[in-house]
Amino acid sequence: MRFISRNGQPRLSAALAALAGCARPDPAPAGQWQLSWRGRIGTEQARLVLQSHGQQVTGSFNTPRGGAPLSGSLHEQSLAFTVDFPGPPSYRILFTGLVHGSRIEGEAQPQVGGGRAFAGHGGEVSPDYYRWSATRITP
Amino acid sequence: MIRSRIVAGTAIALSLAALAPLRAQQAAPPVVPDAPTTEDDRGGRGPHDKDTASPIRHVIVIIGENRSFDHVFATYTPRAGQHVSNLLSRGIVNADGTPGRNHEASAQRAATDTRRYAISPARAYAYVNLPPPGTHKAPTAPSDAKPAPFATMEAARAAEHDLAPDYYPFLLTGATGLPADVVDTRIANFENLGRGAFQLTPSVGYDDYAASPVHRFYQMWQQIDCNVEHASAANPSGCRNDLFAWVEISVGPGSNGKPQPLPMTNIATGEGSTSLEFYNMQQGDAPYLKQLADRYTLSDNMHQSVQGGTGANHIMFGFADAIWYSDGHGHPTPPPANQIENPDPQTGTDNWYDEDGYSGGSYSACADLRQPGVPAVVNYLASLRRPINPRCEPGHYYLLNNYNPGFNADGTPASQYSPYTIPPSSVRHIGDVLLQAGVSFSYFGGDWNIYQTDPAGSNPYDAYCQVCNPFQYASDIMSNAALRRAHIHDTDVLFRDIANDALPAVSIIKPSMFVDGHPASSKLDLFEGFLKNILQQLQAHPKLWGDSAIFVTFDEGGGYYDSGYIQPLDFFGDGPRIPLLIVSPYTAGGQVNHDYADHVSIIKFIERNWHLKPITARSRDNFPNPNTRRDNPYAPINTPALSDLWDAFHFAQRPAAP
Repeated sequence: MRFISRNGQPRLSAALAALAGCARPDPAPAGQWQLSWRGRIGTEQARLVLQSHGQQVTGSFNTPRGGAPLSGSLHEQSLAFTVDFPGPPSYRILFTGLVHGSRIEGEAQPQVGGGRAFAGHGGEVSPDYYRWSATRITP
Repeated sequence: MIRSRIVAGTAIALSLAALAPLRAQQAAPPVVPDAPTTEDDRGGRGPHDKDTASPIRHVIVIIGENRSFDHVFATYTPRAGQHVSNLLSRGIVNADGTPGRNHEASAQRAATDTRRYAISPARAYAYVNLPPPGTHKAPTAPSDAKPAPFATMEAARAAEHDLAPDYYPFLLTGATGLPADVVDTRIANFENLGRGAFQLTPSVGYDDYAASPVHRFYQMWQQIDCNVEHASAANPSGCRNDLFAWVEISVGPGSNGKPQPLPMTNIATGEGSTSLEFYNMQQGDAPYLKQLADRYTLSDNMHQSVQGGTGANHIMFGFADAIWYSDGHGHPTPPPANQIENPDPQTGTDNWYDEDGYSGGSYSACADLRQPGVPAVVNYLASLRRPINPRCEPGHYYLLNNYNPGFNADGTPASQYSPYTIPPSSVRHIGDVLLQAGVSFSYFGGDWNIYQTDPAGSNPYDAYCQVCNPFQYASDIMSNAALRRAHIHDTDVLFRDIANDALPAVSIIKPSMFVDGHPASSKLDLFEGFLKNILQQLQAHPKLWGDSAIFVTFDEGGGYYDSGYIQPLDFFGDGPRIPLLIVSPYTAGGQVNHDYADHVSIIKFIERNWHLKPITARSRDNFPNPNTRRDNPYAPINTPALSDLWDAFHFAQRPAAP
């Protein structure tokens, strides 16, 4: 991670994020997260609101086009939750990932519908299809 | 803010275009006020829809994906009195698919290219047997989570709506049972395939998924191996089509700027020699396409218009030209450095391109001979007996491969989701010509409705092809909500328009990616099912059928080998032959048309039928119709030339019943 930007100024957000990660070994995911989600065409942003009750996780998955409820579980650092998107047609995505302090990284897996790593229109394949990551915004 | 700047910039560009209508690649003029559109504003209601030069009132273009002519029509035999140029008629294969007396004509060779990109690199050795084909990314098993194929009919029907009823079972079948990127051991004699074209079926079923060969711009120029030293009267471009397999195994779909994988084996790219596969109509493959060829008119001289893939070929169809990187306001500007093509081999490698790929180089400034890759193509064009103008404007970085169009469905900038997005284009396109002439048109794209709420493609049901819609690149259409609503629809509107006898004069139809026929992600039988559904519904409306010309073609050959003549038109193409079926009451009879054509030929037909001018002063629709020698109808002697396909029709004859 670069803490110094190209113009020589400290990257405050990066430094704070790293510090936050160091200071938060507890993987409890409750709070708000900014999520980046790689789709077939591009990367989409979402706001994740998580509540945890023991190992149970609930919350919401909010995109610029609307929100959807989520539910799942946390086992040590391993987070798994499903989101039921309204569509149409409606579909369910399973998100799995590892919580590292203020960052989560993982993969998203459609539970119904399309979504295989498409051998694209020039013979290309998008390698990181359906990978996602999230950065904590608020506790 | 960004959107308003684009709209303002477009308006400036539009004004300039109105003042200088013949300027090269001028911007599109304003054509329709930005007003709400109602159902009555679209679909067969252009004031000049019926002002035609023929009985044709409806042109319907259906574009499948990724099949070369010989790959599909390898062994097709037309009715008596007709001749077709294919693997069978050339003696390359026999009717049973075995090597023919002239199989050597399809023989592949290995080359070597270690210093600078060449389109006809030095010979290394001839293959005794082709490198075994790979599975690449063809699907291993049915899955509702990772289709296609689907595991259940319920999921399949939820995802796909446009097939003829008896084709839905094919959405569940055909998985390889093999991992990705390994040798495709389903193929008979995969280690002893000989040196040239080989039949994929029946060891791999016609209904089975298979790998997709590379078909990017600089790769395809190498695959067809053009060199004036090999030119002849029969083959004036000197293209030998003998490096398909070598390009697949040496670079495949590109480096994306990364080092070459080690060890670099024949299967390292996952493809092997997939490109040499063909289907056999004599043994039942592609039955519906054969039925249409038997009944109507088949072209055996139709070509993909750009060397390369889907996006560039759909762009050439819509613009009759290539488009270029800009500031989004009509001014050419260089793209980011890592988006510029560099097909020169990386140091220490043999043909492993330095910067090329889906998340890498895709633009070239082809007027600048200092740019990597450019001299190889431009010098070849200059060396021809009739030198060909590359038609590259100084300072313009042309898009050669797949990048996202500049707009999302709602007219917002697509660059917010992906850096691999060409900025909004102000280049004039066929939609501008039709709008100005008062001729109605629509683009019908499968899954457009889902894509409108799914700009990043994260909805697993979304199989819309965003790079396929030429109008999605265009500022004047996409920044105008009324024009978007009037001219871009999902296929549900297509079928409603057919049912209501309300089709626009010009319809461009694109299947969803589940049924577009693309190898690995779709199958040719699924495209047949899509096609059959449309044609059956058209045939159920005799009035509509009676004045329609349906052009069934593909975007490109998908990287599959083809034995046909290729005419160089400019820096961008042409490429290998692709299938074209012309279905109309005026093309019945099972004829084979030999006029040299590419995607722009369909644009020329539209323009001739509705008395329209070419799109711009430099667009390919300005090329004349071909003149040929009597003994060689395939190679135009007045090159560059493109047929308008008018002669494929027999307008003086009584129209045939469906």
